[in-house]
Formats: sequence, structure tokens, C-alpha cells
Amino acid sequence: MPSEAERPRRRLYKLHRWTGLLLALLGMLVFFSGAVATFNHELDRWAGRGDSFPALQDVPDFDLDRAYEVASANVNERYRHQVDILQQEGRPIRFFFHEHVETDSGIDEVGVATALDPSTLEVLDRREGHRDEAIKPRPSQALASFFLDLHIFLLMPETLGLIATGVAGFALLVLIATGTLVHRPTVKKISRAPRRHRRRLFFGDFHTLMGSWSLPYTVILALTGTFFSFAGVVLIPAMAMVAFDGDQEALIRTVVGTVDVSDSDGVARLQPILDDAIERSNGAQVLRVGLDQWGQADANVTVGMVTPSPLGDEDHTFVYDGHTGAFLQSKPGVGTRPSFGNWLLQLMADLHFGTLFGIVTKLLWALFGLATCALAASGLLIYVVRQSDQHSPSTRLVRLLTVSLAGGLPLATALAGLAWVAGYGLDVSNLTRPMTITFLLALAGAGVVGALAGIRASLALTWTASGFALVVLPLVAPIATGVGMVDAWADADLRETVFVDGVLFFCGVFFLLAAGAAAKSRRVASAAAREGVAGLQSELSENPAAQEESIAGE
Amino acid sequence: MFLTASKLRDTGYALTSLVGAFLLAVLMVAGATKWFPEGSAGIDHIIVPIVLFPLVWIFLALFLYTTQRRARAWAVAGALAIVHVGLVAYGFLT
Repeated sequence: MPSEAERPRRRLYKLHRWTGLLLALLGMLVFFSGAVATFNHELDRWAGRGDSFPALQDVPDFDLDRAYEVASANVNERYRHQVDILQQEGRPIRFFFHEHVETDSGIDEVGVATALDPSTLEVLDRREGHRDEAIKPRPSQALASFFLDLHIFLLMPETLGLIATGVAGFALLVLIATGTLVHRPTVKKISRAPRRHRRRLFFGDFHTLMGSWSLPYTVILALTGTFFSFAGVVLIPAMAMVAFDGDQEALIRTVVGTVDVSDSDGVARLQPILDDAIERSNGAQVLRVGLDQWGQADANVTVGMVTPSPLGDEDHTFVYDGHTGAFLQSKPGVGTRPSFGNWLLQLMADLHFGTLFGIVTKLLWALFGLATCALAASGLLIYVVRQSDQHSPSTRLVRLLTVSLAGGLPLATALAGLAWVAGYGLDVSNLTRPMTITFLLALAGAGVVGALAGIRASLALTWTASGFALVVLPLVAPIATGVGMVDAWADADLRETVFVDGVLFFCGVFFLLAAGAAAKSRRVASAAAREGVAGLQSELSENPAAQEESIAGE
Repeated sequence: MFLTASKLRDTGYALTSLVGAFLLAVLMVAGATKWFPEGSAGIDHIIVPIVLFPLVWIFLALFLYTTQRRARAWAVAGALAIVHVGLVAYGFLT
């Protein structure tokens, strides 16, 4: 008999099966939340349609210098050399005056954040602390950021979460490589409809079909996801140690690129710089104005803008002298001049976020993300169906996991949305907490149902609950947003957000139909089982020889 | 019995391959800053190795795990490690 080392295909199959079982939970959480987060911007607009602050360039007589003066009142001098001025669509303008401090986990930014109404320059909010504490998201932002945090950090502390998602990305690479070598997708396999006459064959064919068609997507997402997770926590510190004497800030400055500014005195006016950037970009939306080394010898101003387009947004970054306000150069995302590294990094971001061809790739990415979840669920079902003892602890555990993920994830997502509405309506200060608790309880509850009942019954139950919750969500959302579907449709600026209401309603109906199909399939299977038993009993009573054969078979 | 000595040995070898490949990939990426071309903006030697990290890791992991000649595979991995430790040490000294 050949040794293990001589049978690579069998070893690959074992590695594929065990990696799949271990990855199921993390992987499906990452892919499902990733599919939701693909429409992060649209979800955020929908949740924030009650916030209707105009873009700063749309406010007549807006003066950035005056806004800076209001925001910087009583700010400690040491925070005034680094300032970020930010505005998201429909939200207030935020000024973050800060300094860079070294912590155990790397470089952090500490300072004061002030939110201003762009129309009246009224101070809406002012906080001091680390960036995440100071720039506190508005309650409307909690919905989209919950799914983004779930996707990036899996609801864990930042570093641990990035390592977990990085490991999930790498485990997916292992699964793809071993799955391709084991299942060997061929044209025949990927064009054949799953055979329906046996459950085991059906799940096997479905798994190969889904895995083969989504292969390019999963390869792209696994590579880019592993890169994004590990780059900050492992690779940049390692590189900084080798090439920058451990100075991570120096490495980041080199990569981001600092435009040389001749040492000088004086402070430039900001509004003329903003006007010039808007003119150069043909009226693009201002996202960020960064004041670097402000008030010091090498002060400079960076203006980041975006021209939205259905087939892919166009980014612009312009750099100005911080003393004279003179235009210095247009800057790529990283580095100070075009380079292969910048192109590669931009490609990684576009591929991971699905922004390569705008809404087209975003839709495709979301669909492929859900297909990957179906791939993982079918892999778990294959394991369950193949076990000879359906009541063994390992089979029960995998069945629990299957229902918890396939039925629990849509339910948990919909209920987290309802928790956001309830929390917002009740003016809860930290909306992430009720959303997290609801999400985890829904996953656990679905798992318990899966352990107690059969798979079909559990899925029918959890999908019914998901369907109702998703249908109800757009109807109760005005409690949080203050703007209903009809009002949003009447407002030209908010009309596009009604699309999200439609998608939620459509998903709800889809899950109700899926639940109906699962319940029907359960009834058919039960009836078939009853008929099978009744038929066998009748045959045995009429034919003693068959009875003997049956006993011998057992 | 659920866990046999052979299963434990297999699992141990799989984990050694995956973790060994991870450490070697980190070392290779860090060492690559010393030999990869810097490019026109002086950043390619940092960005390209980081982007390629997942590919290097999976390639090394599968190579170490599936090989039929384990001694030779680990010797190749050892040689790569020595070269990149040298590059990293050179980075510290200069």
C-alpha cells in the first residue's frame, strides 16, 4: 500500500475537507457580510436619508477659511499641524485636528474632531480622543458600518479581527487550490445541471458547479482579502523593520508620497485652493482636504475628490503649497508620480471592492458572494449526507453549523437591521451593541433550531422569519430615518435610495418563496419515506421470502 | 479511535507546512525590499512584494505539503530562508 507522501491527491482531498469544515463559519461570515458591504455606500445613503446636509461646494458663499476658524476655536496648538477636513454625501463637514502618536499596535492619531453644518457653520458635535472615538459616526452611519466591521474584523478587536479575516482568506486560497486539483472542473462538469435523483449526487454536482463558475471571483477575493488583512498587521511592520529601522510612519510616508514644498513662511487661504481644485476636476465632489505640517516650514494641502459615474468613479488628488496656495501637482493614490506599484494597488482595491466597472461589477460581486455562501453550504451538506450515523455528535454539529449559516445569516442580517431601527428610534447611544447582540443571538438561535429539527424544517423556519423581517424593514425604517418611501421618491436627491427599499422587499419575498419550497420538499420527502415504509411492510407481509432477504440485508 | 497516531502525524505535517510557508513568505517579502526594483516612484519594492505575499504563501504551502520528496522540498525552503535572512541582516547592518 503506498504511503501518504506518495498519494498527493488523497492528501489534497483531506486538506480540502478539513479546511472547508474549519473555514465554513469564518468564510461564510466574511463572504455574506462582504456581499452586503459591496453596497455599503448605497446602504449608508438609504440609512442617512434623514441627514440632508448639502455638499460644501453647493452652499452659496461657503468659505472654508471661515469654517476652519469656527472649528479650530479652543483647539490645543499641538493638534493644529495635522488637520483632516472631511465630508461624506449628505453629512456634516468634519474637522479632525490631530497629532500622530506611536502605540503598541502601531501609529495612532489623537486629537479633536468638530462637526459643522455647512450651511450655517453651527457646531453640531465636538469630541476629543483617538480618531475612532473623536470622529463618532452619526446614528444613521451605524447600519452600514456594522456590516463593514463584520466583514473586516468579524466583530473582534481590530488586530485580532484582521488576522482572523486574513487566515480566512488564506484558508480560502487553500480550498481553491485543493478543490481545483481534487474536483478537476471540466467543460462537461460546469455545463451539466445537478443530478436530482439522489441527494448526495445533487449536492456534489451543485458544489462542483458553483465552485467552478465562481472560481475566478473566489481567487480574486481570496488573494486581495488576504493582502488587505495581513498588509497592515504583519507585512508593513516586518518591512519597516528591515528597510526603515522599524519606523512604520517613515514607510507609510514613503509609500503615500510627500510632495516637496520649499520652506517658507505664511499660511495659504483655503477657499481659493478649494475653488481651484473644483475647477480642475470639472466640479467633482470634495471628499477630503488634508492640511499637512500646517503652519510649519513645509506645509502643504491635499484635496481628494471624486467624480461619481455608474461605470466606475474617477478619483482626483491635487497638492498645493501650504504657504502660497500655489498648485504643485496632481498626485496618484500612492507615490508622487505614476508607477507600477500604484497601478497594482489600485487594481487590488478595484477588484476587491467590485468597483472596477462601477455598478456592473458591484452587482456581479454581490451575486458571486452569495454564490460562494451557497458553495460553502453545499459543502457542509455533502458532509452531513455522507455520514452513515445521522445522529452522531459530529453530524449534529455540522448540521447545526449548516442551519446557523444558511438560515441564520439572512435572519441575523435582517434582525440586526431591525435592531438598528429600534435603537435609533429609542435614541440608544451605541447602536453597534444592540445590533451585535441581535446578530449573534439570531445565529445561535438558528443553530439550536438546526440541532433540534431536520435541515429542511429548520431552513423553512429561519427563511420564513428572514423573509418577514426583510419585508418589514423598509416599512419601519422611517422610525429611524424619518423619511418614508413616498417622501424619498418625491425628493429628486433621495429617489435612488428607494431602490434599496425595493431590494429589501424583493429579498424578503425571495426568502418566503424559498421557505415555501423547503417546506414542500420536506413534506414530499416525509410522504415518500412513509410510502416507502408502508410499501415495504405490505410487501413483507405478502412475501415471506422478501422478509428473510430484508433481515439478511440488515 | 477518533485520533490515531497516523492522523495526528498527518495533521502535524499539514500545520507545519502551512505555518512554515507563512514564516518563509513573510521573510521573503521583507527581504525582497533589498532586491526588488524600486520603480519610477521609489515604492514598487515595497508594494509589489506585499501584494504578491498571498501567492508566495499558497505556492510554498502546497509545495511543502504535497511533495513526494519532503527532504528536498524542505532543503529548498531552507535555502530560500537563508538567502532572505542574509538580505534582512544586510538591511539591519546598512
